[in-house]
Formats: sequence, C-alpha cells, structure tokens
Amino acid sequence: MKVLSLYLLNKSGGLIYQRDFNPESNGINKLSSNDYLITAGTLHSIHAIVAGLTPPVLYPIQENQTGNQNQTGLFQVETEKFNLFIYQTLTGLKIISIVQKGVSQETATRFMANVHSIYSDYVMKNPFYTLDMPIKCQLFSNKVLLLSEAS
Amino acid sequence: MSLYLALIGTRDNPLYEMEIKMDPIRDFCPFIVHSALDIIEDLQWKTNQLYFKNIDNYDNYSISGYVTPGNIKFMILYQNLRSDEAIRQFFGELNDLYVKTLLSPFYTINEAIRSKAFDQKVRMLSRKYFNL
Amino acid sequence: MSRILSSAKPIQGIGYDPLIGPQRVEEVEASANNSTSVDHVTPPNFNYDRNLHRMKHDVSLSSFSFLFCELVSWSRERANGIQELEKRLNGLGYTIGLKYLELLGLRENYITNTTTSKNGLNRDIKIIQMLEFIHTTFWKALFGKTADNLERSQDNVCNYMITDNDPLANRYISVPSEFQNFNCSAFVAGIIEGMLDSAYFQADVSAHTVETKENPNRTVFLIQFDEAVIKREQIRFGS
Repeated sequence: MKVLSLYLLNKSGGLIYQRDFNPESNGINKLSSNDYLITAGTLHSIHAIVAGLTPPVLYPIQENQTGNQNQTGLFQVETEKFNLFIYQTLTGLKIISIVQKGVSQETATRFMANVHSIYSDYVMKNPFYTLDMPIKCQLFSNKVLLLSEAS
Repeated sequence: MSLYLALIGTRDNPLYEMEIKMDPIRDFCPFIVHSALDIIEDLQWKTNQLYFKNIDNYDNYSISGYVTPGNIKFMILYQNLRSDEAIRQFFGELNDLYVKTLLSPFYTINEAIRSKAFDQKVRMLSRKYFNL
Repeated sequence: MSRILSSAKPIQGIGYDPLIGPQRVEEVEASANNSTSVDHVTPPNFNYDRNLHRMKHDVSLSSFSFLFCELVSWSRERANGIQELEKRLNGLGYTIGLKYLELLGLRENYITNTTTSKNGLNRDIKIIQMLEFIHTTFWKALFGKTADNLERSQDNVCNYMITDNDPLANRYISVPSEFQNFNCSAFVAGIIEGMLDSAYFQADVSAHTVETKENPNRTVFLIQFDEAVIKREQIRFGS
C-alpha cells in the first residue's frame, strides 16, 4: 500500500502538518507553502459545503466502527492517478491522505486511524506544542515516516 | 511496664513523643533518649539493619532504637516490656504509620506530627503489642 | 520542657504538640471521655487505614504523560531560561524523592519479609549499595525495568553515571531546537537527588541527552557526590 501525501487540518481548517512521502519516486511536485495552505483551506470548505448538502436520508444509521467521524461531509475523491480520503476525529481534526489507485478504503482508514493515534501521543503529550499551531515535533515526523513505510 | 517513645528527625528535633506510666523520671525522658542518639548514630553506619536493640541503659530502663532508610530515628525507653520481638514488630508498624504521614502533601519532612489520628493509632499499637 | 509547661492544658482534638510534649495518659483518656463519640474505637481515617502494599502499583502512562506535560508547561511559564527551568523541575522532583525513599524501603522490606524468612536489612550505608538500589529497585518501581548502565567516571572520583536508553518521562516529548541542551528528565534527576539527600549522601544530579543511532532519547544521569561524602566513605570503609 502506497500513501503519497498526508495533510493534517485543525478544526478551523488551517493546515498544521503536510508531508509528501518519497516525492521523487512518486512523481509529486513540491508546491510552495502558500499553495499547500490554499489546498487545505479549499478542502476544508468543500467538506463543510458537502456536509450541508447531504440530504438527511443518507445519514448513516449504524454505529461507526472505524473511528472515522466523517459521516456527512466530503469523504472521498477519486481521480485517474490517485484517491483522496478524509478522516475526521471527534475533536474536529481532519486527516487527509492521498494514496495510490490500488489502495482500498479500509486500508486508508486504518492508516489514518494510526496517524491519529500517533498524533494523540507525540503531539498532545508534548509540553512544547500549542494547540492548533503547526506541528514541529521531530518524534511525530519520525513515527509517521515509519508508519508509511511499514504499511 | 512503662515506655516512652520518641520519633526524632534529621536535625535531632522531636517529631512525636508519647509516654506511658513513666512517672518517676518523666521529665528526664527526652534527655536520656537524646544522649542515646549519639550511640545510634555511631551504630547505624556499621550495619544494614533497621532495628537496634538494647543500645543503652539508664538505671534499670533500657533503650532500643530503629532507623528508617531516610534517617529518621524511632527511640523507645522502657522498663519490663514483653519481648524484643514485640518491640521489633511495633517499630515495623510505626514505620508504616510514619510513611503514611509522609504521603500527605501538607506534611514536610522534619515537621512535628500533630495529627490526632496518628496519636490514636500509635496508642492503639502500644496497647496491642505491650498491653499498655 | 514538659515540667515548665505542665500547667498548660492539652488542647482538645489535637494530637502531639511539640511545645507541650507528650500527653499524660490520664489526660488523654479524659479527653476521649469528653469527646462526643459514643465508643472508644478510633474513627475510620482515610490516610492511616489504607493499605500501602497492594500487588500492583501501576499508573497509566498516558495520565502520567499529560500530568508531566502540564508540569513542564507550568515551570516554563515561571522560569526565565533553560537553567532556571531545569532547576525548577529538579526542585519539584526533590520533594518527591525525600519521601519516596521511605515508601520504597517500606515496600521492599514488606516483600522480602513476606517472601523470604530473613528480616529485611535494607538501609544502604555504602555509596555503591545506594547506587545499586537506585539502579535496580527504584528504576523498576518507577519505570518497570532496571536502568541500563551504572558506571563510575574515570576522571572524577565523585561522579557516577546511570544511563537509561529510553526514559519514560521523555518518550512523547520532542524538544524544539531552541532548547537544545534541555532534558525533561531533570524531574527524575530531582527525585534521585532527593532520595540521596535523605539517605545522607549529598549529591547533585543532572540529566543529559546523549544520542545514539538506536536510541535517540538516551539519557545519562550524572550524579556528583559532595567531596565530603566521598571522603567520609573512604574513612569509613576504605576506598
């Protein structure tokens, strides 16, 4: 399973973490930081608009098993070259992963759930981190890299 | 059957005192115990044990001592108490009570133990082990 | 002292008072009779009735991490720089260490007394015994494993080093580059310093990060005993 990029958004839609994995081999171009911020903001807004558009008939009935609280907003974007999944936590944090075509939804959700677990350990328990600020924790980056290589 | 118990801190200050039926020499007890402190401080560096029995004498009273890992000394001045084993177990339980006192965040080391509950518990222990 | 103040009445409801001295037994029984409780059984007391010797003394790592996180943030607000921050954390650990030695000694004593037949001999009178105690028992009680290394420094006779490859306190903490030399295990160093001080081995303990490939968080606790302590040890036990 190949994950190409990872974005973390705080509850107000600001980008707090962005990472491309193996950019040269995957053919990902590096954008300017401004472009990343704009992309993140756009995705956040679209997610909110879709949540407003979803008719109540389509609200899921059964209990959520995977931990993904993203029930009514933008969930998945499919293109020819990649898939994009959005995972939301109870606190409003959004984890957006861009993965290769062959990857299933369950695998991607599991990956994002693990990222959430790493976030709650290495970012939340760090006294030098202020909430909703960009993440600069070395240990978090290392663990995310290990996770992307392991899966 | 009489006893005088003193808990002594690291600055030779009394943390707690209790005496039972010590009437003839009641006022001398603190001084007798204090002079035995030197002996215990000498002995404590020669062995790993906690309990020191019969380190000193005054007339026909004996003194036994106990040193905690944190260097707090429990001294007992007594006459005709039942057995050494009883004193040793008494000290063990006293150590337990002392650690519980330490665990209170409002208690600093080397402070006098004024708690009435502690006093009652110590008297209960002395009743249990020495029938006093 | 007690003769001078024997006219003073013991205050109702207070235990030992250092100004008055030991209470007379008759007075104690009189105050017990005057009290409103019906029976002479001591009322249940939360602190003195609890059991200190349960099987497991485990605390969840997450709750400790969050509490420690707040401790570091709190100290950071009040300190003006890395040195003062380390001193604050050290001080917080120091007060814990003073009391923790007694608790740990009591628990170890209980375990050796209930599992073996010999009576606990567990005061440490030599430096090396105390360091062994810290290296094994203390580390095991706090972190669930023994420390990884204990060594004496070659250049300075007063210095000893205890190494921990993955200190629990630092596990989730990434120190930003402005705080290059700062190690949050200054707190644990403070606990060790408190324990050593209460056992009459005065020392300064500090925590230093020494990275290796496999263990980026590897911490070395440097224990610098006072010269007087080393001299005393040589006189007592011959180096």
